[in-house]
Amino acid sequence: MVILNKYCFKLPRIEKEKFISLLRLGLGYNRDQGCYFISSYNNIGKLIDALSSILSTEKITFLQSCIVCSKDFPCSNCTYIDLCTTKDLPFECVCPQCLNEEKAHPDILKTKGDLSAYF
Amino acid sequence: MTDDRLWVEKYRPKYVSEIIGNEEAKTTFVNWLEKGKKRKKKAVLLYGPAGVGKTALMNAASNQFGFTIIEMNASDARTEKAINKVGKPATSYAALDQFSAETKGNILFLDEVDGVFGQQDRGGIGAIVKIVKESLVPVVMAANDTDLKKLRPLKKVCLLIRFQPIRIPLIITMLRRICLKENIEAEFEALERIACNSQGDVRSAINDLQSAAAGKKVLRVHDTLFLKSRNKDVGIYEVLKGVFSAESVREAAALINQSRVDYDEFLLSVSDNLPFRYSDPIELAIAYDIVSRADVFRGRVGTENWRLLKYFFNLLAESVTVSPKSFKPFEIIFPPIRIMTLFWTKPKRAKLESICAKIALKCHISRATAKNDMLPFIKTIMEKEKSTPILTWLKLESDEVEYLTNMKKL
Repeated sequence: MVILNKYCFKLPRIEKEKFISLLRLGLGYNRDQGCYFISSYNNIGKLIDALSSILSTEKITFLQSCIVCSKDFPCSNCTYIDLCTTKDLPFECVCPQCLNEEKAHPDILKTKGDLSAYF
Repeated sequence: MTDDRLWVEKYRPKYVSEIIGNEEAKTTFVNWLEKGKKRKKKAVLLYGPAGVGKTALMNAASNQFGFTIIEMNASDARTEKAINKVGKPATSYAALDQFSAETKGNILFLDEVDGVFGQQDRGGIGAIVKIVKESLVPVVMAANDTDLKKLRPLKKVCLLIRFQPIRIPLIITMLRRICLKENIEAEFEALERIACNSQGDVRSAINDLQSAAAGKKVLRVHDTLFLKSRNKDVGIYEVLKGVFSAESVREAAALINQSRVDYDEFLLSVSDNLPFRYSDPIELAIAYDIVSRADVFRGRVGTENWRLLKYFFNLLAESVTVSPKSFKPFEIIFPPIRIMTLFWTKPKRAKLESICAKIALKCHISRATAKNDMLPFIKTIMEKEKSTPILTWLKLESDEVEYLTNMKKL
């Protein structure tokens, strides 16, 4: 399993056609830092498949950002991994710790992070 | 006074930040909206499953940035005439109130554009494309399924923004918020059950919560037992991905059975992807043999023998699970190569058809005969004598002559 950072990750040198097809699928390339990032999420499923074939690995995982505590975490810690249709994709979610805290103390939502705007 | 509104209305997001999930889609949409006249594309097409926040994002953004929405949804007749009646005045002139500080002008919103079809909506998509090209104001559209052929012209002129199903932890968090506001003490497991049943559809999750918890002070798991899981339509790409990684025939067959994909397109896609799935030639041969039998059953199903469809499904499922243990992820090819080839060669085929029509007219034969029996000889004559009088007699245009000259084979 390879864990990638959605804002900046490196790939081995690839041929021109492959590079173009990756950019068409929604990958961006930062020339200054020499790293790739995801610029469009429309074809994220196809993009992950293309990346896994380039990295010759069965599984590619992106870290998730927690909307409550803003920390990054992998999907492997989540209880709902089997039910999730977007697992390992670089989207935002609620980390298991925050969900457990919420389970124990529901009122925590009133004071934590951006969610205070809702109350 | 009690508020009897539906909770989906009561808790409808008023600001973009209140919409849960799809952060990337939200950012792209807001960036597009804020660009004003510098927008590269005049229209945006929000697409994704139902209940994930497409319409909510549109309403929240227009409220937040001060746009006035002019909306047409599935409840309106959307013929060419009806769309022009509403859309043209809305998009051809800048609204007077855009000069006030309170509003930025109009925005045309066409909800559920994939539902524009049939006799009653004749010419609808063409009219929308025309309005988008000529529009002076931003045009926003929402659809569930963009794979439909009729939406292809729209996709060319729009910025596409995809919405994903909302994740279970996010739905639980949102349901918890609603319970707090409604002063309902909810068991975590009850909210978890509602969220899991919703399959990423926030609207149905809120409706389920209301039906289970309305009028109660405490929501327990047994209050949610009557709720059934929502059936969700799965796209062809997801189905292909699922069946190729399936560990058993039964699993693959169940996946195909649940989806509502186009059977012929699915058969072609399976056939295209088999060489990437099996590296062993014997396994590949077995798989293709099974696909050929599935194709026979597809022919037998036709348009009436739907009872035979299960055999078609089972054979396709069998073809992708010849050796489940040998599965390695690969890049799935979609749309089918055959359809793509037909798409790319359409102008060439049209030209050939027009040449054959001219020959057929002059020689009093059918177009097929002209193509098979006459064209090879005309080409041979042309190779020997480029400006043969036959070409003038057939009234072929210069581009058609050039096409015939460069044509390698028939």
